[in-house]
Amino acid sequence: MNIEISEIALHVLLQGCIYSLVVMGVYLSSRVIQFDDLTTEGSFGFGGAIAAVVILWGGPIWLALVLSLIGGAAAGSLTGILHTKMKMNNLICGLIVTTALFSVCLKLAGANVSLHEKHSLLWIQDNLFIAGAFLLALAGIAYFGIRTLLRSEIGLILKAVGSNPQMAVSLGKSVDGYKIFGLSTANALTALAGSLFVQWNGFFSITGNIGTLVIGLTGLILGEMIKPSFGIGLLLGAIIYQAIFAVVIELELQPLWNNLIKAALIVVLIQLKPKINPLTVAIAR
Amino acid sequence: MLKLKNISKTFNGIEVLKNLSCEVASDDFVMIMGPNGAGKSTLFDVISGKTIPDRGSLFIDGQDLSAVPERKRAKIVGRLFQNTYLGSCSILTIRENLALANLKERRASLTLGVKKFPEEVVEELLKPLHLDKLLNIPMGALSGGQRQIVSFIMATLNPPKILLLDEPTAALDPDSAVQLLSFAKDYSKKYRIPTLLITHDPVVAKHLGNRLWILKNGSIDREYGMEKSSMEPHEFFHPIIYEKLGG
Repeated sequence: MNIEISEIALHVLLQGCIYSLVVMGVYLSSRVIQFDDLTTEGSFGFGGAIAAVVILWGGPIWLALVLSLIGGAAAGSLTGILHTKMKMNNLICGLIVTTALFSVCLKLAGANVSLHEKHSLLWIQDNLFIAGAFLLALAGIAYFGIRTLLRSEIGLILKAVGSNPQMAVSLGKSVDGYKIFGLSTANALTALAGSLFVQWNGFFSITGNIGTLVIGLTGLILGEMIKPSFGIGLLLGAIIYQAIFAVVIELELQPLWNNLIKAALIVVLIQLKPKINPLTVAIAR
Repeated sequence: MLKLKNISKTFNGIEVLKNLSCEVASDDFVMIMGPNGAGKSTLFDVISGKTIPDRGSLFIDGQDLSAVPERKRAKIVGRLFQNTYLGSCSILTIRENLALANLKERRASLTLGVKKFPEEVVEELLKPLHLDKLLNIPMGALSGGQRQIVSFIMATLNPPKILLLDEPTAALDPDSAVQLLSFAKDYSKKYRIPTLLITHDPVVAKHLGNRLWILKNGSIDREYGMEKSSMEPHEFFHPIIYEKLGG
C-alpha cells in the first residue's frame, strides 16, 4: 500500500512537472501579454505528434524536444500573425490554428500510436527516477528561463504590451512583434509539454490534447492562489491539480465523468480564488 | 520646429481636419482650444503619427515625417494624455516604468530590467516632488496627479523634439494641475521644446502660453499671440479657483 502511494505521488509530481510548462505558457499569454490563447490546445497535441514521429523514426529524445519546441513556437507565431497582421479576434485565431493542427497531427502521427517498440529514457520504468530527475530539471530550467525573461528589459516591455499597448508604442516598440514573440514562447512551452507527455506515456493519441487549456488554466488559478505573480506557485499549482485528479481517479468514478469534473473544478476554484487586484500583484513582486 | 502644410483627414466621410497649416517655433508654448469634435486630438494624432493624414505634409526640424508611423516617431514626439493611466504601465512600479522610459533610445535586451534605471532622476526630479520614497510602488496605486507627473517625466526623460499635452490636467485637482503645468512650462523653457497644450480652461489658455489657437471644424479658426506669458501657473490658477470656491 505504501509503495503504491509513493508511486502515485511520484507520478503526480512528474505529471505536474510536465503540465507546469503548460501553466507557464498560459501565464505568459493570458497574464503577461493578456491574450486569451486557444492555441494551447493545438500546440500541446502538435508537440506530441512531433515527438511520436521523431521517436518512431528512431531519433533521439533531444531532437524530439527541440523539434516540438520549434513546432510550438511556429504555431504560436501563426496565431500572433493572424491576430496582429490580419486583425483577427484572438479567440478565433487560436481556434483556427488548433483546428488546422488537428489535421497536421493526424497526417504526421496518425490517430493512435504506441511508442513502446522503441526505446526512450522516459518510459523505461526501471529508470523512473532518472526520468523523474530529467523532468524536474527541465521544469526548473523552463521556470528560471521564463523568470529571467520576465525580469529583463524585454519582459518589462512584454508586460507593457499587455497592460498598456499605447505606452509600448510611445516607447517606439513594436506591439505586434512583442505579441508574436510572447505567443510563440508560450506555445513553445506548451508543445514541449505535449512532447514530454507523449514520451512519458509512450503513447500518442489524437485526442490526447483535449482539455489541455483547462488543465493549464486550473493550474494557473491554483498557482495564483498561492502567489499572485510569476513564481514557484505556478509549478505547485500544476502539481496540486494532478494531485486533485489522482484523488478523483482513486474514487473510481467512471472515466467518462473526467471532463465534467475538470470543468466543475475550474468553476469552483474561480469562485474560491480571492479577486486579484493587479496592484497587489505588483506589490507582492 | 514643427511645420504642418495643408493637412486633411477624413474619417467615415467626415472631414476632421481641413487643410490645416501651421508653424511652431522652438520657443513656442501653444494653447489649443476648441469645441468637441473640432479636431484637436486628431491634430495630435497626426503629429504623433497615430493617424496618417490623407493629404498634406508634416515636418519636424526640417525632417519630413508625413508617412513615418507612430512607433518610429517615439524619440521625436513626447505625448501626455488626458487619461492618467495611458502614460505609464499601472502594474509596474515607478522604478520599472522609468527604466522602461529609458528604453526608448535603444533595443531591449535580456539584462535585468531595472539595471539601467536612471538614478539621477531620483535626486533631480522625484525628490522635489516627494516621489523618491515611492519608487517601488506600482504606478496604479499613485494618485492621478502623481501618475501624470511621473508620466510627464517618462515622456521627457530623453528630450523629444516636440511635446504634445492632451488635456493633461482634466482629471486632476487644482493643486496637482498647477504642479503639472508649472513643471511642463519650466521644462519647455529650459530645453526649448516647442509645446502644444489642449485645454478647455480659459484661464490656463489665457495665461500659460505665448500663443492661442482656436480650432473649429478641422482648421485653426483664430489665432491670438500673447506676447508676455509672464505669469506662473500658481499665480493665475490657484487664486481664481479658490476664490470661486470661497476658499
